[in-house]
Amino acid sequence: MDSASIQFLAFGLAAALASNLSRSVVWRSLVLMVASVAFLVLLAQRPVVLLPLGGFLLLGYLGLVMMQRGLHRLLVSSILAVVFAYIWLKKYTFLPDGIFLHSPYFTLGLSYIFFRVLHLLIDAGEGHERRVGIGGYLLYTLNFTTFLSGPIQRYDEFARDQFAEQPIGLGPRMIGLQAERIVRGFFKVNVLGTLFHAFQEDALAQLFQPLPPSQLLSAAIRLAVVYPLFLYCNFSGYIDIVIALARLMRLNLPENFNRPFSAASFLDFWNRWHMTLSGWLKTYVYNPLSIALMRRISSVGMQPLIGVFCFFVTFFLIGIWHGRTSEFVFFGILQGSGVSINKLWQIGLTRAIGRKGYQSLAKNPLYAASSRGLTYAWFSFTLFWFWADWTQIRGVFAALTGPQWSGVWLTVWIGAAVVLASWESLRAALLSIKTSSGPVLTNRYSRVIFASALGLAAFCITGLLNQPAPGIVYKAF
Amino acid sequence: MDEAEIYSRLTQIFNDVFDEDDIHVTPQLSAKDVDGWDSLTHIRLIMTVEKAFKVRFSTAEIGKLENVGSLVGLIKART
Repeated sequence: MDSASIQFLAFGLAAALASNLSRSVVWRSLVLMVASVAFLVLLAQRPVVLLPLGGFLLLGYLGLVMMQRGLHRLLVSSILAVVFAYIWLKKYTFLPDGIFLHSPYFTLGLSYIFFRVLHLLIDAGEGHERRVGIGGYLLYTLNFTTFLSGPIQRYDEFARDQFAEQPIGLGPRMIGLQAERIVRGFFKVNVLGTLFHAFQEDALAQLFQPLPPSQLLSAAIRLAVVYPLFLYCNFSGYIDIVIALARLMRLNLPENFNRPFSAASFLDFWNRWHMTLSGWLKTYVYNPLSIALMRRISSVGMQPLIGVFCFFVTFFLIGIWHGRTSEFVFFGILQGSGVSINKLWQIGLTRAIGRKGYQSLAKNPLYAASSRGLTYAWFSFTLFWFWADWTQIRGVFAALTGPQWSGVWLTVWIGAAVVLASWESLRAALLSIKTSSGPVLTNRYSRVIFASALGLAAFCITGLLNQPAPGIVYKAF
Repeated sequence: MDEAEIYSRLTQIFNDVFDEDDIHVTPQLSAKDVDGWDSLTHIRLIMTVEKAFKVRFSTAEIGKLENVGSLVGLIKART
């Protein structure tokens, strides 16, 4: 149930069917609540392990009630209490081991509930007029469609759809689009994700064998190239499924991906990858931190550097949100460094050749391709601290010499630049083939054929593979 | 303060912040329409608007701004 499995699909479709038996707000909310609680119970298996999660939700709700009653001076302490409770429950390793609970308890979904609770708390503490009762709070925080891996939806968008007297429409065309999206998501997770995962495991195994340098280099390149593709298929495929299921329940969830490997800079990448995460941190960390610093440091010349610093902090937090160990601290440092260096490069280049010169250069196909390739290579490099521990990382890097690893990353950079530029050109060429109703590739006939082919392929391949797909990586955060 | 005055003042603010003299401020104008309107410039823009109109926006309001129209709506609500 905690993956993009047939069981989860069946569960979601059953909930959607039940939800559509009546258009009343009460009925739809009741179905969503029952489905969400059932989902939680099925995942947890023993109710007692849910007590810490219940405590966290209660803490968040108490803070929210205080803010809604005007006790805004307690906002900072409420935020700190929620943050500390989160870090404690997730057992971040910089806290002493003795303070943790040592009996097993349930933490799936906690990272996403954390953002939802904080968002409600901060908005209420700043005087937002919104009033959230316990029912709305629980529906929003426990919504099974976004429970495991997001997207991180804001409360107003959730409430607008969930509590609408006239729910958003769901005609045959919309149902067809969601069915197509479910098929596409299922294919990404269970076929492409499984295959990329197998390629990664194979490459990793080869790196620890006494092979000739040429084979080790090939394994290293494959290891670097494949993991971002696996992660994309694994995560975005699951998101496709939950967005479609939610839409069948007349809820619009925000998109989480926008062709991330088309990004021409690392900054742009994070506007396209896990967008609801970067959007949340931009709203609640980057913006307020930038404003607070710019109010204190009035020098106009310092503003770009303030921006760079705030980018570093924001993306460092994105990094450490992903995990509780020192590997993720380093992952955070790499994310922060990547965006900071990118920003400094943009600032420096703009100063050197002027804003119009920089804009012209950014549109140059060779520069764009090179930037795209570099973005892919950098993201791939940072992901080593995402999927491996320090022992594995040491082993992987010890398999080749420094110059050999430099060659690997140069190859990944150039290879990604060429492949992604070719893909962009191919995509543009295919979309330019049009009829009066639009591109041939995206008309309903093409989509039906494509979805049918994907569905059949997914059915056959998953049957042949006869093994479960790798779990959804992002549920672990 | 009426909308025409708000748009007039915003036009001057936009031209100052973006160092241009021909930005045409419309309700639909957004970051994708103006070169150089990135996260950092957005903050400078917000702070300049807050100072010019003597208002303060909340974290959520700044995060939700989609275009100039929504910004004008916020200014009108505060003034």
